[in-house]
Amino acid sequence: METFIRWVERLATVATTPALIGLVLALGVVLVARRWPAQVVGMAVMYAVVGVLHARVIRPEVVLVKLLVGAVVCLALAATGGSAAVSSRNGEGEERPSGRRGFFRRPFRLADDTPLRGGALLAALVIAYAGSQRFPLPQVPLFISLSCYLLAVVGLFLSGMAEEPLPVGLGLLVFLNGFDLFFGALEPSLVVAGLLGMVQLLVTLAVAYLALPREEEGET
Amino acid sequence: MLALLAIGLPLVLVPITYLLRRWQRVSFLLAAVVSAALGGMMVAVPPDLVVSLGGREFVAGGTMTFLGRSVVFGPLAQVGLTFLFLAGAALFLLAGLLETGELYPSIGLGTLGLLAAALVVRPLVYAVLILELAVAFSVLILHSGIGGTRYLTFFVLALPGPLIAHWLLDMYALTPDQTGLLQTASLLVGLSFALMLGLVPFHPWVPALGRGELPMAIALIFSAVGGTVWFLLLDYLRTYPWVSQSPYWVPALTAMGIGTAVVGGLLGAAPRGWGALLGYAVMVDTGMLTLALVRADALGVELERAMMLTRVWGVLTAAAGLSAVGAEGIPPRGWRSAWGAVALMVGLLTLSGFPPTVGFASRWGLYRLLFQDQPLTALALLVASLGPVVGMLRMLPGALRVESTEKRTLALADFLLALMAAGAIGLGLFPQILIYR
Repeated sequence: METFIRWVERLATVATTPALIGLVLALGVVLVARRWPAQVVGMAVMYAVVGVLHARVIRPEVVLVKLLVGAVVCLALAATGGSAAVSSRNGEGEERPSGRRGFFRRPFRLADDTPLRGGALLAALVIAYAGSQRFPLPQVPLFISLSCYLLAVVGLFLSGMAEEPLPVGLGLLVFLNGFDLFFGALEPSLVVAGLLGMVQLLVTLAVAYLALPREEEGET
Repeated sequence: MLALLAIGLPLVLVPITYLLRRWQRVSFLLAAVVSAALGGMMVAVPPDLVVSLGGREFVAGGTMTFLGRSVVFGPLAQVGLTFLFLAGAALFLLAGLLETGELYPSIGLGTLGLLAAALVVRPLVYAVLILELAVAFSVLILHSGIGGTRYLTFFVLALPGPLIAHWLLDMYALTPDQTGLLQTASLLVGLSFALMLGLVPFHPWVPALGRGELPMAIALIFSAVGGTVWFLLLDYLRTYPWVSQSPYWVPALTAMGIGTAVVGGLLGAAPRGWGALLGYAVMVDTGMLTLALVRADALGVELERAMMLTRVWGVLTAAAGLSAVGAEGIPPRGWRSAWGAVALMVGLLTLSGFPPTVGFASRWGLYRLLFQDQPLTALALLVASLGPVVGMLRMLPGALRVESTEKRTLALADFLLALMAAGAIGLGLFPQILIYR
């Protein structure tokens, strides 16, 4: 336990700029890529970076809880994405691309709406920057404020640009992370952190339940 | 003590009813009996009753500390818990007879337990977080991806408002000269509750939920979850009276209430399926409740509560009727139960506030008040109330023309459906039982 806490304390020493760049890249992958493996990788990186940012404002024990929640959420999302993809392929009679090339090509294949999503990411960056300058959040440093705005706006875009439960769920989780980063600094109580973590876990469970097809309906 | 029982007992029964899921009737009956017993206890047990357990004395009501948190069993929480568990009992009983799904009792009890916790755990920061847990848990009862996703989305987006507002109001209590804090808090609280109640323009989740889901599942959400949101809002306004003193509060809420009722009425007039119609009728009712909340000082708390009771009654009657007839789809596929059809009609009329149902009786006070100083608003609301009725009449001929291919026997369910429909009309004809005493 002590070792883990020391690791978290070391996370807090990571420079701000690399953390912010990491966050933008992770959110970019989640927003622009439409394949679940890439999105889950993006979510995992996002949780790690948010953990780094959390370590600047709250106690390492609480950060550890949040990282654990993030790990469980990403595992659940990966399992859901895999099952939903298999069901979808079975439903459509689609052939699975074989070989190493197919494996690498599939997760990062660009969809037709990539320019739109890229534009949405740019818009989110502009909104987050302007928001953090014009209405800086109270009791948090500027870079945390910028990160919170970025997470919230990307989360809103993600959930607004999709109708399927899994992408909408990813948006909700990104949005919740943005809020958690801000509210964790306002209310550093362990109970609030625990309840927010439980909310994220239950939202993930609900999204997984909605994303998976049920036999009686056969819909995703 | 009572509050802990209201939270703990349903949650303890979640795994038990899950294990009993193969014997559906037993698990539904167990859930209904426990829910009814808890509802009865909330009414019958006096809050100052002292109970001795294992040599220790516990007070039935009042405030107590559990795991470092305050659990408050005040008059508002008592009314809220009574509503919650009696509605829950009716839901489990009807859902059990109408074959809603084997997980319904487990998820329903878990949701009720969490909602009860949201009503009694204080400060309100915890209540809002627990409400969010209840909402995410209740999604497991749903079937359609789109309706459930929208419902979850709007509630998640509503989460930050009350939590940040709580912090802002604490700051305002320390520095009352900073009125900007109060304005921001009012805006955040209003926005969040508008999202959770489905007020225009945050209404799309309401008809979407009605359109694709099992009727008894949406009845749980519209009655239990929706009711808890109302009680939390009332508690919020009572705990922080400054919120409603903002100059924008009354005009904004009035506009949203009228807008919700009118939009619900207009959209409800188009034939989009019975489930969606139920959603639009709920929108009309939500608009009326919002206006009653704005005018609570003039109307009195009793009328507000009566309107909430009639909403639960209307939702339960309509959803049970819809579940019994199985008439979803455009055009409707034909009906399997005559009493189900009656219950569906009466439930929709109750939610629309159409005479002689109890829905009209409870709204009479609001109409009377509005006609005195805002006759145009009252007229708009009356016209909006007609929307779902028009929608119903437009779908009715098609539904009656189609011969159902599937018939089933619903002896006890038919009796209960008839009872609920008769109750809605009976209370409408003799409203003094409920209000205007």
